[in-house]
Amino acid sequence: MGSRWTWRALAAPGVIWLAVFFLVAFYAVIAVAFGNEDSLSQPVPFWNPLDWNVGYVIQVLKNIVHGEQFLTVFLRTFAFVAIAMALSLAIGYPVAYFAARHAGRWKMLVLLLLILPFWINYLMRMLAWINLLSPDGWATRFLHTVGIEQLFIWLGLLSTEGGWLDGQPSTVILALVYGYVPFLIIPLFAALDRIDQRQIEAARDLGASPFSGFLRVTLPLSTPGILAGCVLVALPMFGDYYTPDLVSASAKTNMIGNQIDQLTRQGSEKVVGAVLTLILSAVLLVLMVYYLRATRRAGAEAAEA
Amino acid sequence: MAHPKDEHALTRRRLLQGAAGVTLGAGALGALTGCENTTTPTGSGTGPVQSRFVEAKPVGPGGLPLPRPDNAVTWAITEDNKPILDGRPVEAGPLKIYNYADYIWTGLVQRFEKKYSAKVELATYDTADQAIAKLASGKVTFDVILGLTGSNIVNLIAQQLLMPLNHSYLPNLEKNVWPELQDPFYDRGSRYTVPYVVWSDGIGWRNDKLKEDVAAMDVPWDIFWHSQAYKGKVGVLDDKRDTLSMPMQRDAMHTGARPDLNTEDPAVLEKAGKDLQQLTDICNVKIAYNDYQTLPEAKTYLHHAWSGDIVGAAIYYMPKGVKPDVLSYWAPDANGVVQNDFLCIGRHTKNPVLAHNFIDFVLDEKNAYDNFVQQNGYIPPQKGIDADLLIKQGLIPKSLAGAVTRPDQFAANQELLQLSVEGERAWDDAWSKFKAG
Amino acid sequence: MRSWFVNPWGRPRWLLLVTVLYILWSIVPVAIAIMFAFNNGRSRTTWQGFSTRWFTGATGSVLHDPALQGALKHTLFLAVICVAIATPLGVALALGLQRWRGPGAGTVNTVMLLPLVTPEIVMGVALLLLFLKVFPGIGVGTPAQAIGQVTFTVSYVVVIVRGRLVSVGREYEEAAADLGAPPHDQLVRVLLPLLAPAIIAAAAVVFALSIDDFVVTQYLSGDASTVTVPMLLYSTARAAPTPALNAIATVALGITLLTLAFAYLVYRRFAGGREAAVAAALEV
Repeated sequence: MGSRWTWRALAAPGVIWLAVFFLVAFYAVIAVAFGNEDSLSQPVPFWNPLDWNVGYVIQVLKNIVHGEQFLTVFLRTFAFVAIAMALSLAIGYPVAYFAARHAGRWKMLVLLLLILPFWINYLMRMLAWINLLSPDGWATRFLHTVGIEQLFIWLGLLSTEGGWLDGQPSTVILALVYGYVPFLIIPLFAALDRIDQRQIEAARDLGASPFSGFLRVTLPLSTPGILAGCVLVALPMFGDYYTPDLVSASAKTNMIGNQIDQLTRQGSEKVVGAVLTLILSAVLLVLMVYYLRATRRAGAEAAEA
Repeated sequence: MAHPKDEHALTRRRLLQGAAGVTLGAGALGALTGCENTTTPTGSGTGPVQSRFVEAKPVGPGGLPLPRPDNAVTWAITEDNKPILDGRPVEAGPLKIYNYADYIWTGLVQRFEKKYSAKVELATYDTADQAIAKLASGKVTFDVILGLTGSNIVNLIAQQLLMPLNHSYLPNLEKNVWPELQDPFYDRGSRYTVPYVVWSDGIGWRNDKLKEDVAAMDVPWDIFWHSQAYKGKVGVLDDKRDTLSMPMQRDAMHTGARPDLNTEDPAVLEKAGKDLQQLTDICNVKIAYNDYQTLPEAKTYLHHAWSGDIVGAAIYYMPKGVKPDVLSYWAPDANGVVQNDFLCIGRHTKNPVLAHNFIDFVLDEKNAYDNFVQQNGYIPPQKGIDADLLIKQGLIPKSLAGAVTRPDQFAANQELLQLSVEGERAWDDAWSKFKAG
Repeated sequence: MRSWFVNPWGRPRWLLLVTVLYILWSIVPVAIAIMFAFNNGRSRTTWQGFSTRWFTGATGSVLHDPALQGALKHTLFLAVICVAIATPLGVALALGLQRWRGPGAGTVNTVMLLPLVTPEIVMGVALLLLFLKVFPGIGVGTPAQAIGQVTFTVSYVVVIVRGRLVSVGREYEEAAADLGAPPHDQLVRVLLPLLAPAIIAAAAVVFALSIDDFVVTQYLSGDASTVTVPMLLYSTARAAPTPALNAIATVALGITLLTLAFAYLVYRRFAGGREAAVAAALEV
């Protein structure tokens, strides 16, 4: 059915598009990171690897190694993402588990409700929280009434009454969780859904308690789903800059995305912005490669089925 | 660079804050050096050495001098770029104007269109960098450009983007504009530019929320470092030049020395940066430029502010039932930031006479006044407009008299001007440390 | 009571509770934001009565405010262009990729998947530098925004269509070939209609992604005329805007949901009708 060249011809436009607008674009980042600036503070890319100028890269690496601001921001970002990821897992696993295994005839509806946040603009979801957490907002009043606000202040997670939007790391982390937890629930749901009920039945038949059955059968089988979900959540969080910007106007909660955004779009250090982008990509490469291989494996399995 | 309108648009009826635009690199000035590993930008340096007995001053792009109050610069009229001759007939237009968003009253534009029977097309930019890049790209020609400042003039001249002015078409310049601004140091003879509006950097606060009388303090800037009681309700401007200059002014007021707000000294910048970082812990300082909304709405009580924003807040942004006299403003008498921006004409304009007419039109006293009252919030440097007039007309309360910039403030205060490339870098570095938290 | 928790085949109540609480936490804030779009007053936190003034009122409403309208128009314009380009591009790529045998297939597959896992800011910076340094003739602005959006959405099309392609298999094409249909006909008259549900679903997904896209669109934006609804939401969210902001977000959300509902209905019709018809025709 058509020569193999038909298929390659069909794929060609897409391949060329991605090659030009994705691969070349990424190379532009590399060329600028290893480039220089002109006297108008505009970046000048050095396309030829033999010409590369490592001055800016060294400067940024020195900054990190000496514990200056870039290291601070990277560490803060790691901390935020790790905590947000853990919270997302804590919230998302029970929900995914329920939807996959106990929803019964409500499964479709539950799934629909779980997917719904994907279609709501991320910014609108954050906007909703900005309204609710403003000093006279409903959530602020509610949290004050039920005492959660006092608890947070006592735990040092909130510095002033009603000051949820005043540069609080806890607000940023919770906002990240709110924003990205759907990204974790869906793949986790898919993984849990695929687990064969019979394996659990077998464990039960062999005398395991429900909890033990969960711990020793379900949980291990869902590990790929957990990892996939965590990666899918961590990747966008690392590059997030708009969430801290929206729920906290303070420098105290700046993440690496904020630094990249500020340096690349304003000011005179755009090359540094490109360098930071490169470093961030390198750090995330591990996560990305893992996810791609896992997906390819799943795709291959599906193709063979 | 240090223009209040940079990276945002002060809207009155529409609260659209334009996203910070991107600067387009028009081309490298100076050759690319290539193989060395360096962080020195190409085309930078300290310029031609005068003599080993003279301290070399930093220079700007293209090796051009950086204008300073003590280093006035007269830009030459070159052979290939001469002003138009006197008495030419006016063109039919359309006139292309390049401006910040919402920075000129549309009614004024309509008035001009009627008077000269010519159409006017308004295009907007978000940041000065973006504007210069677009002008330099040569793709579009603009007839009149508004909103750029003495911190951009060197770039404009270096890239040959401006047409020199013929003052015979601009009688209102001498008639109406403050004498102090008719012959600025960054453009001696007003050969290329004419002032548009003026402002100062100062402190805006809610006098009904703050216990302290900020204006009565020895060093009012100190209030920021003693604002623990107002945690979460304090803000500084999201502009590296204006905000880093604040601790510099504070230090100078304490020691009685004269600060250089265009300094390139890394030690000074480091101290300023560290001082600002203290604010993060003291009062959870916000870094924003929407004080014209947050102060009237009491979302902030104390804010580093541009005078025009405070006037705008008093006139347009007060919520129902809140009187504008709850707002107060203070700016230093000396060694603070007092600045103006200008109008200029694009080099390849096809309507030079019409462009000159537009500038003269804006400089007319009634037009300038209407522009200010209806749209802008920033005072035009007109001889006939001052604080007393505005207070008499009930436009601003007495507590904001200090927000109306006076001509005598220019001499004692400083403008935020263009730096050399290394200087820009040093400021950016200090700023990014502050913003990293 | 104990049986509630230990019954392995029953439904643990606490899981249900957690799920219900999660769904409420997830959706109620947005519902409240939508509600305030209909607020009678200027406040976004105090309810002052019901009104549609922010949608259709005389001043400051979505219908009458040029900035809001402009943003909405530009958003929809970009979305339509994005669907028009990304869908055919992605379908072709999916077909080619799935049937590609031999060297290069794995690499192309990886490259195709990369945009799905690249953080948006990396894509934003990369595309920005691309349009400033490699294609300065295009520069930033609407064309750049359109190209950028297509670049990150085409992978979604490929993944969705490929899923369907895998499940459809080659039988129908082979049957058609046995009946003497030329390769071109096999593709256009047999395979594509079978893929139609996935293509429609993919188009709907691209549309929604484009409407909601923020980072790439912002980075490639030129001046005030290239502002989209998400950019507007971002730049005004921390200011003290009117409920008109909630209103425009609601409008955008409404458009997205309507498109998805429409696509779903078309999908159902296609999946139900066409496929059966094709299968029936081939069995004749």
